[in-house]
Amino acid sequence: MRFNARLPAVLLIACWLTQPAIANNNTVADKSAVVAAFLYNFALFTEWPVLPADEFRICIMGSDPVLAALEPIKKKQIKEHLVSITSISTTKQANACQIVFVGKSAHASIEDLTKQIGKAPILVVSEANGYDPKSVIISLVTQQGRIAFNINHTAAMENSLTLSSKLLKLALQVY
Amino acid sequence: MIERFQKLPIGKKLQAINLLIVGLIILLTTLNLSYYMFSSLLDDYQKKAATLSGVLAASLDSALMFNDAQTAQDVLMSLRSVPDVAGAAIYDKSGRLFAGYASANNPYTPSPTFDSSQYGQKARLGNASQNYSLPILGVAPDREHLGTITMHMDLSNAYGDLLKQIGIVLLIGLFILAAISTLLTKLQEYITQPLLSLTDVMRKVSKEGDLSVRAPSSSQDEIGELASVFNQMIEELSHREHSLNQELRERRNIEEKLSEIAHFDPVTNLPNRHSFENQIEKALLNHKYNLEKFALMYIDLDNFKYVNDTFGHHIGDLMLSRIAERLRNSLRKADFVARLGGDEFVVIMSDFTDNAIISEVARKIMASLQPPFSFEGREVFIGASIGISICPTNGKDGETLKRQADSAMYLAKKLGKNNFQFYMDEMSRTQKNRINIEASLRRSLERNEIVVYYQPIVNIAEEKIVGFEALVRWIRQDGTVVRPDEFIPLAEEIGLIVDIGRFVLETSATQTSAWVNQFGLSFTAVNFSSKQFKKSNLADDIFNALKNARLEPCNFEMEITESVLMDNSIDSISLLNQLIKQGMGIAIDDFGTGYSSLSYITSFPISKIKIDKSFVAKLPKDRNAHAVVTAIVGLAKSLNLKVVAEGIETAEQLECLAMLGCQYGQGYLFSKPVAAAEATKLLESRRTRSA
Repeated sequence: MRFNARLPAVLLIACWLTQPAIANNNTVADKSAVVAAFLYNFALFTEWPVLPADEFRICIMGSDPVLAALEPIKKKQIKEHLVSITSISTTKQANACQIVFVGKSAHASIEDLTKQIGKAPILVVSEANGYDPKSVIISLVTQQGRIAFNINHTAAMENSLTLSSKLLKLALQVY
Repeated sequence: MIERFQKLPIGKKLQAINLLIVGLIILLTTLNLSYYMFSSLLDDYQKKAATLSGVLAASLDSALMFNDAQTAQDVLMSLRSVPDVAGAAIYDKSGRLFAGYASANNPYTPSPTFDSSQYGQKARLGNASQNYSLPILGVAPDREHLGTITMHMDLSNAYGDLLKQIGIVLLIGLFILAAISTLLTKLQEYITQPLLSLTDVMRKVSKEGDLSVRAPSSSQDEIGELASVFNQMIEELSHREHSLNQELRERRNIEEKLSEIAHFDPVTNLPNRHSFENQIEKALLNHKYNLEKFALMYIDLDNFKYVNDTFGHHIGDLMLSRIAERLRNSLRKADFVARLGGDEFVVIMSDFTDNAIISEVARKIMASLQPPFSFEGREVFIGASIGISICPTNGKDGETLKRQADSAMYLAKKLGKNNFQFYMDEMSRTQKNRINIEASLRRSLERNEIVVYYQPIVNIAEEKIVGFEALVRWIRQDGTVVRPDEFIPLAEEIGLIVDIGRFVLETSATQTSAWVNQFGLSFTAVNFSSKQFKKSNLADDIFNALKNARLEPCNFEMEITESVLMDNSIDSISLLNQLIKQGMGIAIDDFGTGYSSLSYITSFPISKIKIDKSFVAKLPKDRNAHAVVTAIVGLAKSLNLKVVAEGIETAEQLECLAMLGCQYGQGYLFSKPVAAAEATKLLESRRTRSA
């Protein structure tokens, strides 16, 4: 009987609040580290038609704390390539990169960048910041203190990039 | 429980033991099988959990990598359609809960941190769930550890299935048990059936004593052995019983023979005196306890001694056995008849209401003895005197009853034989006295108390003794002489007259024969009573006696009274004719006092008339007597009959008679009746008158 007394507890159906793995942290460093990890993970779920023989280049356009946060990634390998982190200042420099992260300071030049890249297989990632999100392939958004992302699948396919369905599934929006 | 088991028949015991063993086997098998089924079920659940976890883990890596708990949650929700999953949880690589799922009807709550100790162990019987964990790894080639997925399988359905399966197994077990039980029932008959039939046979032998049955020996085992040993035992028993029975039969035969000798009279086959004593004891006891009356009848045959003397003991015995047969036939089955010895029989009868019935039985007995018995072509008549005493009317003890029946029987004898008398208490003293006289009279012949006296008969003209009249005397032991008129009626009554008559006849014939030879005596006259005439063979008796004495019939004279002629006319006449033809004289005694019928004087064969002494005593003065005597003498002369005057006491009487022409005289004037020796002296002296 005493055992049955616990029955009401059974009714506690599992409807707990989904706690974010990373706490709502406004510190820039923390956010940059998450973005850096995202960039690395994006590389894992994306297939490029051709990769340069020497290294896998992640480029940061404009100044952004993410550059510093990417330091640990250098030690890892992506698709059996050594990883290089490069800071670029012009759109032309982007052609040698596999991933281009557009920092806040360079948001104004996104239009130019996309024109410059054209149909080249370069994954352009940026934080959503009032511009047309369709101009980049993956745009990061902050939702309830958690970083999520939207994917412009059409643009990715035009640029001959194959995004994993898992990635597409995780996206908030896919155009 | 054990006591109950011991009371069971062998068949049931065997069945119980077999069922117990089979039941145990089935139970153990079921348990074993259940354990096996349970572990294989758990294996199934483990595999299912592993598969599910693997599948989910493959699609969860990205969610973990991008920290997308929502997606991870959504992935876990796909478990809703999978049964038997109580819940699942995803932990990140630091072990914190990342996403969780619980089925709608399960109280599962994932723990906030991952505890590896709860996983990796197989569930035990009784656990509610089976836990499983699988690490989630990143993308190749690094395959870094991203987190852990845990799966919690709900085992309630497993238990349900397990119970169902155990139920089915048990059901099958029960079915097998029932089948085995049925089979055992059939099979055990091979053991119990011979035992039961053996028991049946034993019961038959012990209860009905039937030793002819044998146990069937169907099997070759111990029971078959038992049956054959049992059969041997019965064989032995039956053999012993047979010889025992034979011995018993022989012994019984011997006992029967002994008892027959002890209790039966060999001559008549009737019970003997010993049996009678037993029977009267029984009858007395029966009266004592049941108030049953009974009568005692003493039966004494009349004149049986005569039969024995005349025909010999052989015929006597033959006659006794025929008499016994008639007695038995005239009695009812319940009546008891025995021979006490000699010519005495006794009957004990019960079941009567009054004396009339006893009288009827007594009459029936006498009637049965009425028809003559024939031996060697001769017919013999016999009568019986019966005395009856009744218990309890006359007495209540055996000795008294026997004495009373005996007295009543003597009374019957005294009252003329061939009748029956009831014993009566008020028998008069004189009757008793007469009975005493009677008893001594019966013994008188044996004791030689009966003597023949002789009175001379004188030829008046020649004054010479020509003959004697034989007169019987009873000289009792005390010396008193009893005259014939005092005891002859009694002797006639009790039937002794025949014996006495024969004695007188034989004695006087012998004596006369001597006198005829020595002195040329003419005759001796002997008196015969009417009772003697009733005997069928009186003539034979007389001729036998004369023959034995070597005396001619012409030297013998028979004296009879008128009444003999009157009573027994036809038979008597033929007898008298027979005698007179042989030259025997026949005298009419006491003539003138009876009928003195002229017709019989002329028609009957007589040779002499004896004038009654009453006339002689009145002579010579009484004219009437004178006239009568004159007439008788005249009549006799004219009919050519001799005349004897009796009772001559004086010379005047003699003178008168001589003058009247009377030929013979007899009386005290000549001599009183004297004994044979004195009579011989009278003949020697040739005197007519005694001194």
